Amino acid sequence: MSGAARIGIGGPVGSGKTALIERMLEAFAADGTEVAVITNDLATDEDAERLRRGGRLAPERILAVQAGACPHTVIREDPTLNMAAADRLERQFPGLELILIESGGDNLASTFSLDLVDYWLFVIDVAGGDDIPRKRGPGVLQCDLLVINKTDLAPHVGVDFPAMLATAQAAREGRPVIASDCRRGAGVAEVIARLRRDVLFTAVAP
Amino acid sequence: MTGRASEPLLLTGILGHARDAGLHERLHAMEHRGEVEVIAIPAAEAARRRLRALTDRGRDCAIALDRPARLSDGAVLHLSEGLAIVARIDSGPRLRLRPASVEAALRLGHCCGNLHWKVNFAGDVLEVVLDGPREACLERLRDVAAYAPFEVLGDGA
Ligand SMILES: Nc1nc2c(ncn2[C@@H]2O[C@H](COP(=O)(O)OP(=O)(O)O)[C@@H](O)[C@H]2O)c(=O)[nH]1
Ligand SMILES: [Mg+2]
Repeated sequence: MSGAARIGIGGPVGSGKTALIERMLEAFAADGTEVAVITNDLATDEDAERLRRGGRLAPERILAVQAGACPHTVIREDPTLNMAAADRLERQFPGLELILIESGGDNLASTFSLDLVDYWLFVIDVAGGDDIPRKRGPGVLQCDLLVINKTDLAPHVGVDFPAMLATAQAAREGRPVIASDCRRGAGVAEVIARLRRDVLFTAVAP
Repeated sequence: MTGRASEPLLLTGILGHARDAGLHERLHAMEHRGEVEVIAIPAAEAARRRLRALTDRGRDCAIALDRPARLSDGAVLHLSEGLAIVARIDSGPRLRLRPASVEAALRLGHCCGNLHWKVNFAGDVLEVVLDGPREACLERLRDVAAYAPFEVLGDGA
């Protein structure tokens, strides 16, 4: 196959992007998928450090890029820093199947350049408000897969989750939406199955 | 690759171009025998290196290209006895705008850039490559029209 698949993970700050990556790394460690991660923080390596502490992936497979500017600039306008980091990982780990690229977190308009990624997820969360899918932000509409995280919080924040999900599905006109609870790991297997089908092109061993 | 029907046909490289001298005749002959299938890809998606797509005959394909490769209209992705698969990049609908003045053109161009729209410049016409409904695009320009007047032209793509 042709190099590692590059998958972007965008969405507002705090929606659960790093939490989703932590859950995916658990699953990939279990099934032996060769993966690496690039994090984009504004001016720190927080997320990368957190993933390294998680211990699911060798620390050298986690690179941190510091955006130093609005996070969307390094995933869309000028993704060269991230592209260089991904190239470096591919050179260093020839068997790599997958590189996850976490955005520093941005507003609902943030999108990924297809020069950088083959496929991208946008993660929003229930606590961010059930009106988010209605606002038709480019991130929500254009991503390849919309993840609505923190379903566990719906009763606590007074969100009618089935209605929020239906709104998101209607806004996306049939493109995939998956609900997740990264606290408990719900929905993560579905996300991975999607990635396997749409970009990794690998079936899970039975 | 196994030949199981449930698995997509994996396409990992661009073998040539339908217009290439060597390929053109061969593809032409295959076309007459009904052996050429087309994968239609919208222009906005053509930058992808990996995608899952169906051919016009419903064959499930998984495209995974090397990073330097780039899909272009007519790219030949598969060529074997009895089957060729060719990419067709659909240039897609455009919204054609003619700014009323140089000042309007500067302001309109600046605005489209801020919106991250894909545009082409065709003389004094700005072509917005639509990634959604035409009305939605015009709606976004509603306020801009007050200080950067423009004329909306017919499709003429
Ligand atoms: N209740 C709940 N909390 C979550 C969930 N996913 C993430 N969090 C918490 O939300 C906060 C932000 O998560 P994080 O992964 O850092 O978000 P990021 O900024 O998008 O990377 C952290 O405190 C997480 O523990 C979830 O599904 N349910
Ligand atoms: Mg994070």
